[in-house]
Amino acid sequence: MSPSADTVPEERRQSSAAIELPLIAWRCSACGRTSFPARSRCSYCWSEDGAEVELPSEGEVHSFTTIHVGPPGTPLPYTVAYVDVDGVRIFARVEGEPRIGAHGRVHALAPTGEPPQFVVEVEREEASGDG
Amino acid sequence: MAEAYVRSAALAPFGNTPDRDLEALVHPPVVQAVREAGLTTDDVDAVICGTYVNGPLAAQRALSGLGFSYRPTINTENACASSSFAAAIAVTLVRQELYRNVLVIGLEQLSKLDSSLLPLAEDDPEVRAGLVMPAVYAMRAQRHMAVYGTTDEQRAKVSVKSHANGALNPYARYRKPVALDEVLESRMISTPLTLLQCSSGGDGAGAAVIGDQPGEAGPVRFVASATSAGRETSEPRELAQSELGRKVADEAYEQAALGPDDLDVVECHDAFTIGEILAYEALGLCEPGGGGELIDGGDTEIGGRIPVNTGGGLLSRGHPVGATGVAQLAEITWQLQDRADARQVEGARVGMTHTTGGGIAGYDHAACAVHVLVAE
Repeated sequence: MSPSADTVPEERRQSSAAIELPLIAWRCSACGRTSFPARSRCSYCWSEDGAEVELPSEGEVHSFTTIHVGPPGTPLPYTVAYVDVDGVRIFARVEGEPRIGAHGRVHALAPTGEPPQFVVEVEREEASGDG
Repeated sequence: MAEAYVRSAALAPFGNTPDRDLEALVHPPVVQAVREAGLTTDDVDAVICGTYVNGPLAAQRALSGLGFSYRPTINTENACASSSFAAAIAVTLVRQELYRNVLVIGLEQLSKLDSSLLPLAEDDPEVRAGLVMPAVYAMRAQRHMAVYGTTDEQRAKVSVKSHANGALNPYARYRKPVALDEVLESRMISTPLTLLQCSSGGDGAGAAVIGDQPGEAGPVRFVASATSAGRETSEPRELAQSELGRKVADEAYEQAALGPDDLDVVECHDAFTIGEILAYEALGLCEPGGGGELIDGGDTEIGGRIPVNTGGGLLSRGHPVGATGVAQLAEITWQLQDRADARQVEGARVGMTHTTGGGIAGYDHAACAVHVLVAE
C-alpha cells in the first residue's frame, strides 16, 4: 500500500523518537570541494584547511527504487533514493511518491547515540496546469 | 617479459547444493585443470584464490588433501570480481617471470547463508540505511529508462537470452529457457527488477592454470589484463552509465591494441539484467544509451554480430560470487579453443571477460576487471 496524506507512515512515527540534525558537510578552503559526511580532511586534496557547512535541506531525486526483498527483520516494502543536495549525493529512505527529478526535503534523523539516517520527504507533484 | 596463457580451465557445476562440501566442490575442477594443463602438483608454482565470504584461508582449506604444501598462496577478495582479480594477479606474476604456472581458483558456497541477499559490509552507511544489491542496480535501471527510454521488455530480453544460452551449458544452474512474459511477471524484487532479472548465488567453483606456455587444447593468450577500483566521491554522478566499466575497458583495449569491433565473444557482468545493458555501452559494443536497441536487434545472441554471455551469464549460470570470474574465463577459453559445443561461436578468435564488484557507498562499482584473450 502506498502512503497517503491521511496516514502517518511507520517510518515517520519511528523517527519521532530520533533527534533531527542539520545536514553538515565539510567544504575545503584549498580546492573548494565539498565532502560528505563532514570530515577533518578534504577527500580530494587532503587539505585540513576548511570548515563545516550546513547544506540546504532541499534536494533532487537522481533515482529511486522500492525494495520488496530486504534484509531479514526489515519491514517491507520500503523505498530508497539517491538525492542530490548542493553538490553532494545522499542515500535516503523515501516518504511519499518519488519520481526522477522530484524535489524533496532531506532530514537527518539520529536515534540516540547512533549515526544519522537520512529521510527524504518528496514534494507532491503540483496539479498539472498543461492538461 | 613472458607471455601469459590460459593452459587449462575447469568448472564444477553451479547450483544450490548445501550438501556439497568444500572438497567435493573444489577438488574436481582443480584436479581436472592441473591434469589438462599437462602438469602435476609439483609444477604449480603458486596458488591464488578468489572468494567473497567463504571464510578464512579459503585456498588452503579447499586444497586440503591435494598435496599443495609449501606453495606461495594468496587469498583475494573483491566482491563479485574476486577471482577475476585473482586471474589478473596470476597474469602479472607469469608475465614478470616470477612463476611459470599459477593455479587460479574461484569458489563460493552461498547456499549456507540464511538470506538470498548477498551480505554487504555492515559498517557501510548506505547498507545500514537499507541498501541491498538489487536496489543498487534497480536505481541504475530506473535512471537508464528515464535518460535513454530503455524499456522493461528490453531488459527482460537479456534474461531470455541468458537462459537460452544457459540451457546449453552443462555447468549452468538454470538450464531451462524462459519466455519474455515469465521474466516480466516474475515477482518484484526491487522496482523495476523482477526475480528473473536478478542472478542468484548458490554454490560454484572453478580452476584455471595460467602459465607461460599454451595449453594442449589450443593456445589462448592474454593480450590485456586491466583492473581498477572505482572513483570514490560523495559528489553526484550519472547512474545510467558504468563509469568504471568504461575506464577499465578502455585501458584493456589500449593494452590489447584492439577495439570493440575486434571482439568475437564477450562474458560480461550481468548480475542483474541492467548490468548487461550497461556493459554493452561501457565496453563500446554500442553507443551510450544504445544497449536496449542492441538486445532488440539480436546482435548479442549466439549467431549474432557479437555474442555476449554464451555460457548463460550470471543470470542463468548462477552467481556464486567468488567463482564467477573463473567461470567467465573458462567460457571464453573454451570458445577460443572451439570446445563450447552447442554454444560455440563460429570462428571465435578474440574474447573478453568483464567483471565488476560493488555494494558500498561512494563508488559506482568498487572494483572492475577486464581481460582480453586471443586464440593463436
